[in-house]
Amino acid sequence: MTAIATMASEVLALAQAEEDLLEAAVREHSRLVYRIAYSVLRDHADAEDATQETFLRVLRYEKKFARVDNPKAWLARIAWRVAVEWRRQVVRAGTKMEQAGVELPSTGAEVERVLLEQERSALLDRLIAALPEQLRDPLVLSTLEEISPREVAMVLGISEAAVRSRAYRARQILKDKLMEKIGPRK
Amino acid sequence: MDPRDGEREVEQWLDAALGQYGRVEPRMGLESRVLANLQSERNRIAPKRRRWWAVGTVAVAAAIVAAVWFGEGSIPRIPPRTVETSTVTHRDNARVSRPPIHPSQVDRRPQEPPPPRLAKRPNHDFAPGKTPKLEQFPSPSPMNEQEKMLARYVQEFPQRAALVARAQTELQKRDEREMAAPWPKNAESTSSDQRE
Repeated sequence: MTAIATMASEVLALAQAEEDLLEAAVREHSRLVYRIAYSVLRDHADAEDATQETFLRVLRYEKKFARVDNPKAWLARIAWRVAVEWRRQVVRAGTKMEQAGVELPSTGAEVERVLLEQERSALLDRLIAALPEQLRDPLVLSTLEEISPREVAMVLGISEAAVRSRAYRARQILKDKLMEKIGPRK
Repeated sequence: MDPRDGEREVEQWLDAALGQYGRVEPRMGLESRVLANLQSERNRIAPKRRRWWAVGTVAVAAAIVAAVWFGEGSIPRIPPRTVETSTVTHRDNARVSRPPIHPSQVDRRPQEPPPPRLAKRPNHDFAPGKTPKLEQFPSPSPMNEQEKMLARYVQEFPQRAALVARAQTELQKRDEREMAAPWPKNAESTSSDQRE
Protein backbone atom coordinates (compact mmCIF):
# COMPACT_ATOMS: atom_id res chain seq x y z
CA MET A 1 0.00 0.00 0.00
CA THR A 2 2.98 2.27 0.61
CA ALA A 3 4.04 1.82 -3.00
CA ILE A 4 0.57 2.82 -4.19
CA ALA A 5 0.61 5.92 -1.99
CA THR A 6 4.05 6.87 -3.33
CA MET A 7 2.84 6.37 -6.89
CA ALA A 8 -0.23 8.52 -6.23
CA SER A 9 1.87 11.32 -4.75
CA GLU A 10 4.22 11.19 -7.74
CA VAL A 11 1.27 11.40 -10.12
CA LEU A 12 -0.09 14.39 -8.22
CA ALA A 13 3.29 16.11 -8.36
CA LEU A 14 3.47 15.44 -12.09
CA ALA A 15 -0.01 16.87 -12.59
CA GLN A 16 0.98 19.97 -10.64
CA ALA A 17 4.09 20.38 -12.80
CA GLU A 18 2.00 20.09 -15.95
CA GLU A 19 -0.42 22.67 -14.59
CA ASP A 20 2.43 25.07 -13.89
CA LEU A 21 3.85 24.49 -17.35
CA LEU A 22 0.54 25.33 -18.99
CA GLU A 23 0.15 28.45 -16.87
CA ALA A 24 3.62 29.58 -17.91
CA ALA A 25 2.74 28.94 -21.53
CA VAL A 26 -0.39 31.07 -21.22
CA ARG A 27 1.60 33.92 -19.72
CA GLU A 28 4.33 33.68 -22.33
CA HIS A 29 2.51 32.87 -25.55
CA SER A 30 -1.10 34.02 -25.23
CA ARG A 31 -0.37 37.16 -27.25
CA LEU A 32 1.20 35.13 -30.06
CA VAL A 33 -1.78 32.78 -30.09
CA TYR A 34 -4.11 35.73 -30.21
CA ARG A 35 -2.22 37.34 -33.08
CA ILE A 36 -2.22 34.15 -35.09
CA ALA A 37 -5.95 33.83 -34.55
CA TYR A 38 -6.52 37.45 -35.46
CA SER A 39 -4.40 37.17 -38.60
CA VAL A 40 -6.76 34.47 -39.81
CA LEU A 41 -10.09 35.73 -38.45
CA ARG A 42 -9.61 39.52 -38.56
CA ASP A 43 -12.01 39.91 -35.66
CA HIS A 44 -11.12 40.57 -32.04
CA ALA A 45 -13.94 38.61 -30.43
CA ASP A 46 -13.40 35.61 -32.69
CA ALA A 47 -9.66 35.80 -32.14
CA GLU A 48 -10.15 35.75 -28.38
CA ASP A 49 -12.55 32.83 -28.59
CA ALA A 50 -10.05 30.99 -30.77
CA THR A 51 -7.32 31.75 -28.22
CA GLN A 52 -9.44 30.27 -25.44
CA GLU A 53 -10.18 27.22 -27.55
CA THR A 54 -6.48 26.80 -28.34
CA PHE A 55 -5.52 26.64 -24.68
CA LEU A 56 -8.41 24.32 -23.88
CA ARG A 57 -7.06 21.94 -26.49
CA VAL A 58 -3.62 22.22 -24.95
CA LEU A 59 -5.19 21.36 -21.59
CA ARG A 60 -6.64 18.22 -23.13
CA TYR A 61 -3.19 17.23 -24.40
CA GLU A 62 -1.34 18.54 -21.36
CA LYS A 63 0.86 15.45 -21.01
CA LYS A 64 2.00 15.74 -24.61
CA PHE A 65 2.64 19.45 -24.16
CA ALA A 66 5.07 18.69 -21.34
CA ARG A 67 7.16 16.59 -23.71
CA VAL A 68 7.32 18.77 -26.84
CA ASP A 69 10.66 20.25 -27.80
CA ASN A 70 9.40 23.61 -29.06
CA PRO A 71 6.27 24.58 -27.13
CA LYS A 72 5.95 27.89 -28.97
CA ALA A 73 5.83 26.29 -32.41
CA TRP A 74 3.51 23.59 -31.11
CA LEU A 75 1.13 26.19 -29.68
CA ALA A 76 1.33 28.25 -32.87
CA ARG A 77 0.38 25.21 -34.92
CA ILE A 78 -2.64 24.49 -32.72
CA ALA A 79 -3.67 28.15 -32.79
CA TRP A 80 -3.41 28.16 -36.54
CA ARG A 81 -5.57 25.06 -36.92
CA VAL A 82 -8.16 26.34 -34.46
CA ALA A 83 -8.34 29.68 -36.26
CA VAL A 84 -8.67 28.07 -39.68
CA GLU A 85 -11.46 25.80 -38.37
CA TRP A 86 -13.12 28.83 -36.78
CA ARG A 87 -12.94 30.75 -40.04
CA ARG A 88 -14.60 27.86 -41.88
CA GLN A 89 -17.41 27.84 -39.33
CA VAL A 90 -17.83 31.60 -39.63
CA VAL A 91 -17.94 31.45 -43.41
CA ARG A 92 -20.39 28.53 -43.28
CA ALA A 93 -22.63 30.44 -40.88
CA GLY A 94 -22.53 33.46 -43.20
CA THR A 95 -21.32 35.77 -40.46
CA LYS A 96 -19.77 38.96 -41.78
CA MET A 97 -16.22 39.49 -40.63
CA GLU A 98 -15.99 43.12 -39.65
CA GLN A 99 -12.99 45.23 -39.04
CA ALA A 100 -12.79 46.82 -35.64
CA GLY A 101 -13.89 50.42 -35.62
CA VAL A 102 -11.34 53.24 -35.60
CA GLU A 103 -11.85 56.37 -33.59
CA LEU A 104 -11.79 59.44 -35.82
CA PRO A 105 -9.83 62.53 -34.82
CA SER A 106 -11.58 65.89 -34.51
CA THR A 107 -9.69 68.00 -37.09
CA GLY A 108 -10.68 67.84 -40.78
CA ALA A 109 -7.25 67.13 -42.28
CA GLU A 110 -6.63 64.38 -39.83
CA VAL A 111 -10.03 62.88 -40.55
CA GLU A 112 -9.25 62.73 -44.25
CA ARG A 113 -5.87 61.09 -43.65
CA VAL A 114 -7.28 58.51 -41.25
CA LEU A 115 -10.15 57.71 -43.60
CA LEU A 116 -7.68 57.25 -46.45
CA GLU A 117 -5.52 54.97 -44.32
CA GLN A 118 -8.56 53.03 -43.22
CA GLU A 119 -9.67 52.64 -46.82
CA ARG A 120 -6.29 51.40 -47.90
CA SER A 121 -6.09 49.03 -44.96
CA ALA A 122 -9.48 47.62 -45.84
CA LEU A 123 -8.31 47.25 -49.43
CA LEU A 124 -5.19 45.46 -48.26
CA ASP A 125 -7.30 43.13 -46.11
CA ARG A 126 -9.47 42.30 -49.11
CA LEU A 127 -6.44 41.71 -51.31
CA ILE A 128 -4.85 39.45 -48.73
CA ALA A 129 -8.13 37.55 -48.33
CA ALA A 130 -8.27 37.13 -52.08
CA LEU A 131 -4.82 35.57 -52.27
CA PRO A 132 -4.59 31.82 -52.84
CA GLU A 133 -4.37 30.01 -49.52
CA GLN A 134 -0.93 28.59 -50.29
CA LEU A 135 0.46 32.11 -50.60
CA ARG A 136 -1.73 33.85 -48.04
CA ASP A 137 -0.87 31.64 -45.07
CA PRO A 138 2.93 32.06 -45.26
CA LEU A 139 2.53 35.81 -45.80
CA VAL A 140 0.14 36.29 -42.89
CA LEU A 141 2.24 34.28 -40.49
CA SER A 142 5.42 36.02 -41.65
CA THR A 143 3.95 39.35 -40.54
CA LEU A 144 4.00 38.14 -36.93
CA GLU A 145 7.23 39.27 -35.38
CA GLU A 146 7.13 36.63 -32.62
CA ILE A 147 7.73 33.67 -34.88
CA SER A 148 10.65 33.01 -37.18
CA PRO A 149 10.34 31.66 -40.74
CA ARG A 150 11.49 28.30 -39.39
CA GLU A 151 8.61 28.22 -36.94
CA VAL A 152 6.20 29.33 -39.66
CA ALA A 153 7.45 26.39 -41.68
CA MET A 154 6.75 24.09 -38.71
CA VAL A 155 3.24 25.50 -38.32
CA LEU A 156 2.37 25.07 -41.98
CA GLY A 157 4.26 21.83 -42.45
CA ILE A 158 6.37 23.10 -45.33
CA SER A 159 10.04 23.94 -45.73
CA GLU A 160 11.53 27.23 -44.62
CA ALA A 161 12.57 28.00 -48.19
CA ALA A 162 9.00 27.47 -49.35
CA VAL A 163 7.79 29.87 -46.68
CA ARG A 164 10.19 32.55 -47.84
CA SER A 165 9.46 32.13 -51.55
CA ARG A 166 5.69 31.99 -51.09
CA ALA A 167 5.66 35.04 -48.83
CA TYR A 168 7.75 36.89 -51.39
CA ARG A 169 5.41 35.93 -54.24
CA ALA A 170 2.37 36.97 -52.19
CA ARG A 171 3.97 40.28 -51.43
CA GLN A 172 4.71 40.87 -55.13
CA ILE A 173 1.10 40.14 -56.03
CA LEU A 174 -0.14 42.55 -53.36
CA LYS A 175 2.20 45.25 -54.58
CA ASP A 176 1.02 44.86 -58.19
CA LYS A 177 -2.65 44.94 -57.15
CA LEU A 178 -2.11 48.01 -55.00
CA MET A 179 -0.34 49.77 -57.86
CA GLU A 180 -3.28 48.98 -60.08
CA LYS A 181 -5.93 50.11 -57.58
CA ILE A 182 -4.49 53.16 -55.94
CA GLY A 183 -1.28 53.97 -57.73
CA PRO A 184 1.48 55.92 -56.04
CA ARG A 185 0.46 58.19 -53.22
CA LYS A 186 0.01 61.79 -54.29
CA MET B 1 6.23 61.86 -60.54
CA ASP B 2 8.67 59.16 -61.45
CA PRO B 3 6.91 55.74 -61.67
CA ARG B 4 9.88 54.20 -59.82
CA ASP B 5 9.29 56.58 -56.95
CA GLY B 6 5.62 55.66 -56.93
CA GLU B 7 6.48 51.97 -56.86
CA ARG B 8 8.91 52.52 -54.04
CA GLU B 9 6.29 54.48 -52.14
CA VAL B 10 3.71 51.71 -52.54
CA GLU B 11 6.30 49.20 -51.45
CA GLN B 12 7.08 51.21 -48.32
CA TRP B 13 3.43 51.58 -47.51
CA LEU B 14 2.92 47.83 -48.01
CA ASP B 15 5.79 47.05 -45.68
CA ALA B 16 4.36 49.32 -43.03
CA ALA B 17 0.83 47.98 -43.51
CA LEU B 18 1.99 44.36 -43.28
CA GLY B 19 3.96 45.23 -40.17
CA GLN B 20 0.80 46.67 -38.64
CA TYR B 21 -1.19 43.70 -39.91
CA GLY B 22 0.44 41.34 -37.46
CA ARG B 23 0.94 43.84 -34.63
CA VAL B 24 -2.52 43.68 -33.20
CA GLU B 25 -2.99 43.83 -29.44
CA PRO B 26 -5.56 41.81 -27.56
CA ARG B 27 -7.97 43.37 -25.12
CA MET B 28 -6.62 43.92 -21.64
CA GLY B 29 -6.56 40.91 -19.36
CA LEU B 30 -6.46 38.19 -22.00
CA GLU B 31 -4.06 36.08 -19.92
CA SER B 32 -6.22 36.19 -16.82
CA ARG B 33 -9.33 35.36 -18.82
CA VAL B 34 -7.60 32.38 -20.41
CA LEU B 35 -6.25 31.20 -17.05
CA ALA B 36 -9.66 31.57 -15.42
CA ASN B 37 -11.23 29.60 -18.25
CA LEU B 38 -8.61 26.89 -17.90
CA GLN B 39 -9.16 26.73 -14.15
CA SER B 40 -12.91 26.36 -14.55
CA GLU B 41 -12.33 23.63 -17.14
CA ARG B 42 -9.95 21.89 -14.73
CA ASN B 43 -12.50 22.08 -11.95
CA ARG B 44 -15.06 20.59 -14.29
CA ILE B 45 -12.91 17.64 -15.31
CA ALA B 46 -11.09 17.12 -11.98
CA PRO B 47 -13.87 15.07 -10.30
CA LYS B 48 -13.98 12.77 -13.31
CA ARG B 49 -10.21 12.31 -13.21
CA ARG B 50 -10.25 11.73 -9.46
CA ARG B 51 -12.98 9.14 -9.88
CA TRP B 52 -10.96 7.37 -12.55
CA TRP B 53 -7.87 7.49 -10.37
CA ALA B 54 -9.77 6.03 -7.43
CA VAL B 55 -11.20 3.28 -9.60
CA GLY B 56 -7.78 2.58 -11.08
CA THR B 57 -6.08 2.50 -7.68
CA VAL B 58 -8.68 0.13 -6.26
CA ALA B 59 -8.39 -2.08 -9.33
CA VAL B 60 -4.60 -2.22 -9.06
CA ALA B 61 -4.78 -3.00 -5.34
CA ALA B 62 -7.35 -5.73 -5.97
CA ALA B 63 -5.19 -7.19 -8.72
CA ILE B 64 -2.15 -7.27 -6.42
CA VAL B 65 -4.13 -8.94 -3.63
CA ALA B 66 -5.61 -11.47 -6.05
CA ALA B 67 -2.17 -12.23 -7.51
CA VAL B 68 -0.72 -12.80 -4.04
CA TRP B 69 -3.71 -14.91 -2.99
CA PHE B 70 -3.73 -17.18 -6.04
CA GLY B 71 0.04 -17.21 -6.20
CA GLU B 72 0.21 -18.71 -2.72
CA GLY B 73 -2.52 -21.21 -3.51
CA SER B 74 -0.79 -22.49 -6.63
CA ILE B 75 2.51 -23.39 -4.89
CA PRO B 76 2.63 -27.22 -4.79
CA ARG B 77 2.93 -28.84 -1.39
CA ILE B 78 6.07 -30.99 -1.39
CA PRO B 79 6.29 -34.02 0.93
CA PRO B 80 8.80 -33.76 3.76
CA ARG B 81 12.45 -34.48 3.04
CA THR B 82 12.54 -37.59 5.24
CA VAL B 83 10.85 -39.55 2.43
CA GLU B 84 13.94 -39.30 0.23
CA THR B 85 16.47 -42.07 0.71
CA SER B 86 19.96 -42.63 -0.46
CA THR B 87 18.85 -45.18 -3.05
CA VAL B 88 18.68 -44.07 -6.67
CA THR B 89 15.15 -43.14 -7.68
CA HIS B 90 13.52 -42.37 -11.05
CA ARG B 91 13.97 -38.73 -10.37
CA ASP B 92 17.68 -39.22 -9.88
CA ASN B 93 17.90 -41.26 -13.08
CA ALA B 94 16.24 -38.47 -15.00
CA ARG B 95 18.63 -36.01 -13.48
CA VAL B 96 21.61 -38.10 -14.50
CA SER B 97 20.45 -38.51 -18.11
CA ARG B 98 19.90 -34.77 -18.60
CA PRO B 99 22.53 -32.84 -20.58
CA PRO B 100 24.73 -30.42 -18.67
CA ILE B 101 22.94 -27.17 -17.94
CA HIS B 102 24.49 -23.87 -18.88
CA PRO B 103 24.84 -21.46 -15.93
CA SER B 104 22.43 -19.03 -17.61
CA GLN B 105 19.79 -21.78 -17.77
CA VAL B 106 19.96 -22.62 -14.12
CA ASP B 107 16.51 -22.95 -12.66
CA ARG B 108 15.94 -19.85 -10.60
CA ARG B 109 12.61 -20.85 -9.22
CA PRO B 110 12.20 -20.07 -5.57
CA GLN B 111 13.29 -22.92 -3.38
CA GLU B 112 10.64 -24.98 -1.71
CA PRO B 113 9.54 -23.44 1.53
CA PRO B 114 10.86 -24.95 4.75
CA PRO B 115 8.50 -27.26 6.60
CA PRO B 116 6.29 -25.43 9.02
CA ARG B 117 7.66 -25.22 12.49
CA LEU B 118 5.60 -26.48 15.31
CA ALA B 119 4.91 -23.98 17.95
CA LYS B 120 6.95 -24.50 21.05
CA ARG B 121 4.74 -25.41 23.95
CA PRO B 122 5.96 -25.52 27.54
CA ASN B 123 6.29 -29.08 28.84
CA HIS B 124 4.73 -28.92 32.27
CA ASP B 125 5.63 -32.55 33.13
CA PHE B 126 9.32 -31.72 33.32
CA ALA B 127 9.03 -28.37 34.79
CA PRO B 128 12.14 -27.81 36.95
CA GLY B 129 10.26 -26.16 39.75
CA LYS B 130 8.17 -29.20 40.63
CA THR B 131 10.85 -31.84 41.48
CA PRO B 132 12.83 -31.40 44.71
CA LYS B 133 16.46 -30.41 44.39
CA LEU B 134 18.72 -33.35 45.47
CA GLU B 135 22.09 -33.24 47.31
CA GLN B 136 23.71 -36.04 45.29
CA PHE B 137 23.50 -37.03 41.62
CA PRO B 138 22.50 -39.71 40.82
CA SER B 139 20.19 -39.91 43.74
CA PRO B 140 21.03 -42.72 46.15
CA SER B 141 18.74 -45.72 46.00
CA PRO B 142 18.54 -48.77 48.36
CA MET B 143 20.96 -51.66 47.54
CA ASN B 144 19.65 -54.71 45.72
CA GLU B 145 20.34 -58.29 46.76
CA GLN B 146 23.62 -58.73 44.82
CA GLU B 147 25.03 -55.49 46.14
CA LYS B 148 24.15 -56.52 49.68
CA MET B 149 25.96 -59.88 49.21
CA LEU B 150 29.01 -58.11 47.81
CA ALA B 151 29.05 -55.74 50.74
CA ARG B 152 28.91 -58.68 53.18
CA TYR B 153 31.76 -60.45 51.37
CA VAL B 154 33.97 -57.35 51.53
CA GLN B 155 33.27 -56.95 55.22
CA GLU B 156 34.05 -60.60 55.97
CA PHE B 157 37.11 -61.08 53.64
CA PRO B 158 38.60 -57.66 53.01
CA GLN B 159 42.06 -58.88 51.81
CA ARG B 160 40.65 -61.39 49.39
CA ALA B 161 38.16 -58.83 48.09
CA ALA B 162 41.03 -56.33 47.57
CA LEU B 163 43.02 -58.93 45.56
CA VAL B 164 39.99 -59.74 43.41
CA ALA B 165 39.30 -56.06 42.83
CA ARG B 166 42.95 -55.43 41.78
CA ALA B 167 42.88 -58.40 39.41
CA GLN B 168 39.62 -57.18 37.88
CA THR B 169 41.09 -53.69 37.43
CA GLU B 170 44.23 -54.99 35.70
CA LEU B 171 42.15 -57.15 33.41
CA GLN B 172 39.97 -54.23 32.48
CA LYS B 173 43.04 -52.03 31.78
CA ARG B 174 44.55 -54.70 29.53
CA ASP B 175 41.33 -54.99 27.56
CA GLU B 176 41.28 -51.22 27.12
CA ARG B 177 44.90 -51.22 25.89
CA GLU B 178 44.14 -53.94 23.36
CA MET B 179 41.12 -52.07 22.09
CA ALA B 180 43.10 -48.83 21.76
CA ALA B 181 45.92 -50.50 19.73
CA PRO B 182 45.74 -50.09 15.84
CA TRP B 183 43.74 -52.84 14.18
CA PRO B 184 45.80 -54.97 11.70
CA LYS B 185 44.73 -54.90 8.00
CA ASN B 186 44.35 -58.64 7.62
CA ALA B 187 42.92 -59.08 11.07
CA GLU B 188 39.56 -60.13 9.71
CA SER B 189 40.98 -62.75 7.32
CA THR B 190 43.42 -64.09 9.88
CA SER B 191 40.77 -64.30 12.50
CA SER B 192 38.48 -66.14 10.10
CA ASP B 193 41.40 -68.45 9.10
CA GLN B 194 42.12 -69.13 12.71
CA ARG B 195 38.49 -69.97 13.28
CA GLU B 196 38.61 -72.44 10.45
